[in-house]
Amino acid sequence: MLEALSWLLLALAALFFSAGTLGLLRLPDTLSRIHALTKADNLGLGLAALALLLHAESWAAAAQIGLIWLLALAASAASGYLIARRCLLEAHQVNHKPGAAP
Amino acid sequence: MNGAESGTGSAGLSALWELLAGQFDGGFGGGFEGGFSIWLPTGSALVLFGLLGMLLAASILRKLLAFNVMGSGIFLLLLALRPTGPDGVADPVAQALILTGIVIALAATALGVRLARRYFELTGQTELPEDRDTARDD
Amino acid sequence: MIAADLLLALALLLLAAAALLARSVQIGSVLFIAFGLVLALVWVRLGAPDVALAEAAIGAGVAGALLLLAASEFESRRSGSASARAAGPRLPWPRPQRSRPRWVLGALALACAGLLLLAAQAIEPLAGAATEAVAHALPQAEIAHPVTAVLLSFRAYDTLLEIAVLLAAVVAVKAAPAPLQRPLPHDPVLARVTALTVPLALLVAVYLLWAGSSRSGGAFQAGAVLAGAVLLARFASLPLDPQSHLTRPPLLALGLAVFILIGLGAGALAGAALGYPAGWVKPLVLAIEAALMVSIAATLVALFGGGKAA
Repeated sequence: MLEALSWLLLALAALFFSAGTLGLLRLPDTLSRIHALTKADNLGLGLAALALLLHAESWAAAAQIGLIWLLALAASAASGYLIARRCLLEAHQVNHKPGAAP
Repeated sequence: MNGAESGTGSAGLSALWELLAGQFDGGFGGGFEGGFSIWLPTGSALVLFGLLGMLLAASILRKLLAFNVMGSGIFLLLLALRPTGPDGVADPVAQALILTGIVIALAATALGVRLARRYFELTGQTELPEDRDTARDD
Repeated sequence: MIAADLLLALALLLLAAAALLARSVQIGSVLFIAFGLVLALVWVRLGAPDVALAEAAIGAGVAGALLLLAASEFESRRSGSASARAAGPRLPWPRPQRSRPRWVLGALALACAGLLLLAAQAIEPLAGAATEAVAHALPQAEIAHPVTAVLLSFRAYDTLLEIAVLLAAVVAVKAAPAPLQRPLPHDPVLARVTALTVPLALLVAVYLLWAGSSRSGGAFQAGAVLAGAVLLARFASLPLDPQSHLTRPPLLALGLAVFILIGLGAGALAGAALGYPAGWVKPLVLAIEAALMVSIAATLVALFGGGKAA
C-alpha cells in the first residue's frame, strides 16, 4: 500500500517536472520561464521527497530528506530571483551591473 | 534485402551482428556482470566528443570545455573497467584515482581559464592566432 | 535496470554534445554543469558515492562556474562591438576557409576513440582483485572507509603529489594579476539567503570531513563545500569577506606542509615514509584531512581569482 502511494507520488512528481520543462521550452521570455520552473519544479521535488520520505529508514533520514527539500527550495528561489533581477536590469539597460558577475 | 547484395557484404554484416549481439547476453549493468557494460561505449563516446571539441573548436574556452568532457569520459572508462565489489560498491582504488583525476583536471582547467582571461585582457581575442581565421565565435 | 542505465547514458551524451555545440560558451558552461550533475548520478549508479560527491562539487560546480565566469566576462566586454551582433547566427565551429582539413581531424578523433573502445573491451577485468586486496589490508590501516584508506594510507604519495599540483596551479594563477573586480551591488535577498546558507554549508563541510573516516566524504568534498560557502559569501558581499583571509599563502600551503610533516614525522616513528604508527592512525589522518580541507578550499577560492574589490 505504501509502495503504491510512493509510486503515485513519483508519477505525479514526474508530471510536474515535465510541466516545468514544457514551460521552459514553450514560454516566450525569461521571466515567465522562471515562473514556470520555480513553481512546477519545486512542487515536483516536494512530491518526490514525500515519496522517498515514506520509505525512509529512520526519523533522522526523513528529517534529512525534508531538509534537502527546504534547501533546494531556498536555492531555487534565490537563483530564480537573481536571474529575474538581471533580466529586469538588462531590459531597462541600467548599466550598473558589471559583466563579471556571478 | 534484394538478392543483389553481395555475399561478402551480408556475411560481413552478419558476422558483425553476431559479434555485437553476442556481447549482449549478459545484459547491461553497472559493472561487468555479464561482460558488456554500457558505460564502456559511453566513456569512449565522451572521449570522442572531447577530442573533436578540442581539435575543431575555435575559442579557448570551448577547448577547455571539451577537455573536461574528455576527462570525464576517461574516468568513466576507468570505473567501467572495474567490476563492482560484492556489496555493490565500486573498486576503491579506481575511485581514489578518479578523485585525484577530477581535482587535477580542475586545476588544469583553472589554469587554462586564467591564461585565457589574461590573453583576452592583453589582446582582446578569445582565440589563438592559428584558430582565428574564421567566423565569429566566442 | 537496463532502461535506467540507457537513459542515463543517453542523457550524458546528449548533454555533452549540447554543451560543446552550444551557441555561446555561456550556454555551453551551464549545460556542462548539468552534464556534471548527470555524471554524478552515473557515479552513484556505478557504486562510487565518493566520486559522485566530488564530481558534483568540484567537477560540475567549480569547473562549470569558472568557465561560466570567464565566458560572461568575454561576452560582456565584447558586447560593445557592433560587428559581433551583425554577423548573424554564430557558429561554434570554424568554417572551412583555410586549408586545415577538418574532416581529417574528425576521422582521426573517431579512429582514436574507436581504438580506445576496442582496447577497453579487450581488457580482462581482474575480478575484484583490488577490492579484495584493499579489504584485506583495511583492518591493518585502521581506517574504516576503503576509499579514504586508499587515498591517505595505501596511496598517500599520490595524494601528496596531488596537493602539490594544486599548490603549483594556485601559484601560477596568482602570478597573473587578477583583473580588477568591480564591487557587486548589494542585494538584500541574496544577503539574507546567504546568511542562512553559509553557516549550514560550514556545518556540512565539517561533517563531510568527519564522515570521511567511516563513510563517503573526505577532505576534497569538504574543501569544495567550504570553498562554495566562501565564494557565496563573497558574491553576496557579506561584511565578513572571508575570501581575502582564506587565500593567504600560509593557508594555501598548509595542507601540503602538514601532510609532509606528518607523513615524514610519523613515518619516521612507523618505519616507512608516509606511514603511520599503529594506534595513531585515526587522529593523524584526521589532522591531515583537516589541513587538506582548509588548503583545498583556499586553493579553489584562489583559483577563482579576483581578490579585493576595486
